[in-house]
Amino acid sequence: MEVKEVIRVENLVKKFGSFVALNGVNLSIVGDGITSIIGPNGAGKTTLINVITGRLKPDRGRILFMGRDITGLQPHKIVRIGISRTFQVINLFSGMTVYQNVLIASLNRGKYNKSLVEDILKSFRLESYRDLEVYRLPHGLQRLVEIAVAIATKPKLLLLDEPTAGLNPNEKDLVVELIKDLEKQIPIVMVEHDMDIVFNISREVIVMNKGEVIASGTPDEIASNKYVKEIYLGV
Amino acid sequence: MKMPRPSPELYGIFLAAVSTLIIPVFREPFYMYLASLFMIFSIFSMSYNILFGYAGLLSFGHALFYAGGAYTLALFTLNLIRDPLIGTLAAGLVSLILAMLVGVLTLRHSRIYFSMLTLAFGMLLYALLLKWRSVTGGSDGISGIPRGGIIINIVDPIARYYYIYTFFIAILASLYILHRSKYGLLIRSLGANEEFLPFTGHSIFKLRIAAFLISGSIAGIAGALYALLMGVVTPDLAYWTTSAEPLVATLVGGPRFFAGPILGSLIFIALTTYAARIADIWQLVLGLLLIALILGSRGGVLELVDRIWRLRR
Repeated sequence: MEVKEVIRVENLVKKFGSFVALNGVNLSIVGDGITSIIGPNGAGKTTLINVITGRLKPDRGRILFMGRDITGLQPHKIVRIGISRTFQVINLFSGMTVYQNVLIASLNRGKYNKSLVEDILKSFRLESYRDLEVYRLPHGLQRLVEIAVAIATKPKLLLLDEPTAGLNPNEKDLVVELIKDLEKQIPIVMVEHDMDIVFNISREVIVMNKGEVIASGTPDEIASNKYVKEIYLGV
Repeated sequence: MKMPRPSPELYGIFLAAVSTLIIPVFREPFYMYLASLFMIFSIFSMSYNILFGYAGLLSFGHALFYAGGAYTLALFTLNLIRDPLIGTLAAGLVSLILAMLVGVLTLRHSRIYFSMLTLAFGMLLYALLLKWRSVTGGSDGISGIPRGGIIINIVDPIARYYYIYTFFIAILASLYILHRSKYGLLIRSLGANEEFLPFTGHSIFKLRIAAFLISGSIAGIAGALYALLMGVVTPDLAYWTTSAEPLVATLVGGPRFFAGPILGSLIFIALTTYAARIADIWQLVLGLLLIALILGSRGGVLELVDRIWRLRR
């Protein structure tokens, strides 16, 4: 069976003044499963996610999603094409209820799909919180709502930017279990700092440093990559 | 089946609808005049709150649509078709077109730039109304607006009152349906977190334009009703202080609430009428009220009521 290329990034450059955040990034993600992007702070991981999802416009380069050029498109168009994301710092309609948050995302194709909203609330075990404003929820549950909102847009690719940041161990377990469940339905690209999580659940790991991809491969290949150890793991 | 408990807001809306319905029974022209002003100002403020409270857009040029509607009615009924109803609908349509033009030029800008652009457009109309004397009558405005016409006749004050009441109730009901609808939720999501909205797959610009069109056309109808009530229109309807009035009313009542602009309009009309009767101190009273609310309860009077209501439950 032919394995499809989900996303291809070609020679992507993004500068902030004289600072080069992305310096000719090339990568290709093929097939399902979780692809983790790791790297030290300032490596360009979040900038890459921001450029892919249209939050930032690249200075140069091209992004192809399932063969379609999405470079520089507006964020809402990219979501409609099928890429959804979460943020490092939780980003939601915090004054609105859990139900309303999921509902808004589900309406992006114009039609109201009640069963989609109900199914998502059920599968994320958020039913009992549905009428609570998001800001009233603990951090871990807010993270679940954020992923639920991303899923409600019916994405073909999910980008998670540090999904376990700021969570306690129990909340982390909850989110990791959820990500493992989602992985069966949809390809996931995840920026993550927790190496235990990365090496346990990823199919592929991409390592970035100073705005460039310096290595990619299976978790085992990355763990034994001498260059990565030197630059990133410091051993 | 257990029915959901109505919110205090709904009680308030019901009270406003019933009390304005029975005012003419007392046959007191001054109360009818005040109630008419209240209804018109409520429509104007509700239209403003679609932008401010729902979409998070601080406009300083809403008087553009209000004055646009008022002058459209005056010019239309005097020069084209002598009928208040057709004139009112024409006012709504012209304000809708104005909202489309101004919206396209301003809504891609954010925050202070949007606010300043709306202010500039509002003042542009003010200058036009003042200087284009041959059409607008300059500072004298246009008087002798006809109240009788081919479809309806509202020369009688009670008929005029119920004409305004009909629009008040129809717009109140329509906006309440919008408020409760999924589309209303999308417009409110602009104000809730505009930066996040595109990542749920919605276009900020399209929703802003929708809010602007609804808001502008309703403000135009409010302006037309005002012109019919007063029988005269003057350029100060387009002055920036007219734009500030629904903002103040909304802030006082509570921008987060559907009924906020209605309650705010009631307080505003009462203050400007009764405080002005005692002495010319209504600005002082209003200013103190605003300071107290912004320091104590940014959500306005209804936020306070809501807090007490939640405590009770």
